[in-house]
Amino acid sequence: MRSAANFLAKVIAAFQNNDLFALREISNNAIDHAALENDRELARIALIAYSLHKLAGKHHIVGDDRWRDVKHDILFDLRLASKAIEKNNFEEFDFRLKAAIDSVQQTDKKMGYYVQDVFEKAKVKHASVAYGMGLGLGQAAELTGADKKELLRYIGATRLADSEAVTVGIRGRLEKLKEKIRKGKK
Amino acid sequence: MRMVFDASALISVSQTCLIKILGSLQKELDAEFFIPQTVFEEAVQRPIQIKRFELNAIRIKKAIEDNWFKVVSSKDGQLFGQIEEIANNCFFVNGKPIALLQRGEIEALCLVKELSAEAFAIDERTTRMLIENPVQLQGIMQERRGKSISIEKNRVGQFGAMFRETAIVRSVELIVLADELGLLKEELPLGQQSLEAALFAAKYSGCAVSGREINLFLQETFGKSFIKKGGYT
Repeated sequence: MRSAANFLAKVIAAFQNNDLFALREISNNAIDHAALENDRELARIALIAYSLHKLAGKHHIVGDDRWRDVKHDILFDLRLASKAIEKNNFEEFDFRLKAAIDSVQQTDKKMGYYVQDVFEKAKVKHASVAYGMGLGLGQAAELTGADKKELLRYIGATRLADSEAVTVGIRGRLEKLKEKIRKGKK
Repeated sequence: MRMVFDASALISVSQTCLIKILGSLQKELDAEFFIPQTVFEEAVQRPIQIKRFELNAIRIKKAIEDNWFKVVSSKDGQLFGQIEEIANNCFFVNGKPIALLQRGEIEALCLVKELSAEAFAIDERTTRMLIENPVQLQGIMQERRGKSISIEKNRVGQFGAMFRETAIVRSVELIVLADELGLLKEELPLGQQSLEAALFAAKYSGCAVSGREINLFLQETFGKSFIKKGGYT
């Protein structure tokens, strides 16, 4: 939880200062650590940082009259989450993180253009990072709460499989399968 | 022949709209195809309640109702625990084990053993690599994480030995087999272009296969006359 507290403090500072680059960097670092430690709380912070980076980078959202209040509410909840984690009050920490996530999702729902909200997209994107780092598909999906189907489709659109060496090729696998089929028929 | 399907293979085949060829394969080979209960929950029960995923879930549900697949639960809790313990304690970072596999993949592996399945269909690469080439997986983890990852050689050896006899295939191999048996023509016109399109569709749906690997296979199959038109992006 120590690293979650550190990352959360950085997220608050970056969001307060509208530092989009920092938010993205924090998000990337947090998901790396989360995948390494299988830390779901840290993964949630990575998702929040990424979502805030996306929301605060959209002109039609930051230019909306409602954005100021939204930002205030999100910072309010994140600060209380930060205080809660300092006091090891995990229930309050969880409650405040959920409230911040809810604000992010509601904002995107009301002001965004897409059906799939930015937080859901973040889940899939970050799960693909965890998968790229070697976690199994299920473990990566579970870390961020991503849907396996969406994760598979997202991975398929990346060059991940192209960058990895082949263990056994199509022909080799096919031959072994055929051998099993032949044996089964005897 | 008995084949167990992991969620990844089932999902990518259904996403390419080629699930029907699995039904044809099952009949043609007189095989038994199994889906673990966890995979059924992940691929049907949950997504069928979400509009965005409903269609795919309906396709898989129909395939089950048509008896192409049997949904089974792993009954050997001890084996499940053993596989989980080995798989999730093969690699260590800073002295801590890296939990690589989750319930769905573990249940599928468990069923491979319980049912003495000859084949295991899985499109995700971690489980596959853990069985076939754990050192390569260690290399990927080290490179992408930028940290030293230690490997527990006895455990990876034990894990690999458990599934050494199993034919591990991806959706691309099942598509090629269906094509060789003339089953792909039920869905697509015969020919190189259809096979190529189907293989790349599986890749884009998440099957862990490289474009180079597909091209190499097509070149081997169709000879040197096989010329890639443009890239595959």
